[in-house]
Amino acid sequence: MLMSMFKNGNEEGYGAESNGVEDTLIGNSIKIEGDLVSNGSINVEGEVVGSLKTEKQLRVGEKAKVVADVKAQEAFIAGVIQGNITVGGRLELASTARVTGDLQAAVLSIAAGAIFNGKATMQETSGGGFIENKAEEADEE
Amino acid sequence: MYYYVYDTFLSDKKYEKVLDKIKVTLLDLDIQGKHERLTLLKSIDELIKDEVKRGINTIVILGNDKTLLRVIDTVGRHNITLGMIPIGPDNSIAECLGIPTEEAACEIIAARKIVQLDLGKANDQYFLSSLKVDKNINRVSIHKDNYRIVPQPNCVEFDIYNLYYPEGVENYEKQMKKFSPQDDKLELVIRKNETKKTWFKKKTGINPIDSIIQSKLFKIKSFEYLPVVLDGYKVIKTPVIVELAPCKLKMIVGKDRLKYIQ
Repeated sequence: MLMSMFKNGNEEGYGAESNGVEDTLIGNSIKIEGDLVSNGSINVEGEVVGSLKTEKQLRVGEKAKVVADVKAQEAFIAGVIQGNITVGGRLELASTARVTGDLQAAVLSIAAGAIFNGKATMQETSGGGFIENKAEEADEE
Repeated sequence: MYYYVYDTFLSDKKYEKVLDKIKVTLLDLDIQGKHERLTLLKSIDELIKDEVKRGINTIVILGNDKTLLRVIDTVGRHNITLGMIPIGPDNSIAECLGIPTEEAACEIIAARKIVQLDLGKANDQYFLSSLKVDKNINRVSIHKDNYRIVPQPNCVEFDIYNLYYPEGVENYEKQMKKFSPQDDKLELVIRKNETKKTWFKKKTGINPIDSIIQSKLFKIKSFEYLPVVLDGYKVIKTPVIVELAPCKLKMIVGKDRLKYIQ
């Protein structure tokens, strides 16, 4: 579902058409230490220690490990995150996600099998977001 | 006024006929100029500098990708237009730029369609294509803004690209989109060692791309001096500040260039 929003970094999102937006693909052959701030989407398959902030989508892969506070417009998490996650739009935790920290999102989806230890705060969004939140919560139950 | 520079390999007799045809075509198109053959004793940098002082504003190199890349540092320092007449094998860059080989390229020079391409700058050296580090990667760290990138043990090589021209890659167009020389950005590409298992033996290859990080500025630091290869021929040593050059390369291109070069 949300996965479709995150295009594979190997295929799209780079080049002259990206209008100054910096897209980032972090594989498992590198480790990022410090404050990673991007105005484009970020796809993490490796390790990040510090903080992670993007104005667009964030995807944390199954084998990724993020020890950082995370801020993004939308996020799909399938790996390990130790830190608080703040998402303006939709936050999706896949069944393989292991999150230790507080979540804040407008729309939250947690798949069965995901491990989440922390506090979740949801904000009502304009344009019917509240109804969607209720539906998501009902699904989890 | 045009200044034609011939690479040393064109001294070979097998290129005589081609060069004669090119000279005749240049005459027909009325774009004659000064012709210079490079030798081992003539420095291409010095020759270009001298001609720029004499008022030359367009340099046309005759040769291949290597010839083109070798003049970039000097051309980047002067506000001159660069053209190319590709001869022989290894002309992937010309292909990307829509420049046909041999005498057909003369018409492109005459048509004079000029585009501006980004240039990279590593310390005080300009480069067009890439910068590569493939030795002692574990002793290197790359700094960008407020974070640093630490290569892990499975990392075997990293490159910083401005213009990427993969040889023998079918989907040229797709690759170029990622590494456009007109996007005002450089792309740091990390490659890792990939081991593929087959039924009979282990096959080791290089994973094309593991990580991509875009920026206008990277700093490469290491515990000791390490070689960094610019455009496949020039070696400088760490520490290196790699940035998008403030100036652009004015390049004569053909109409069949990749659509991501506008």
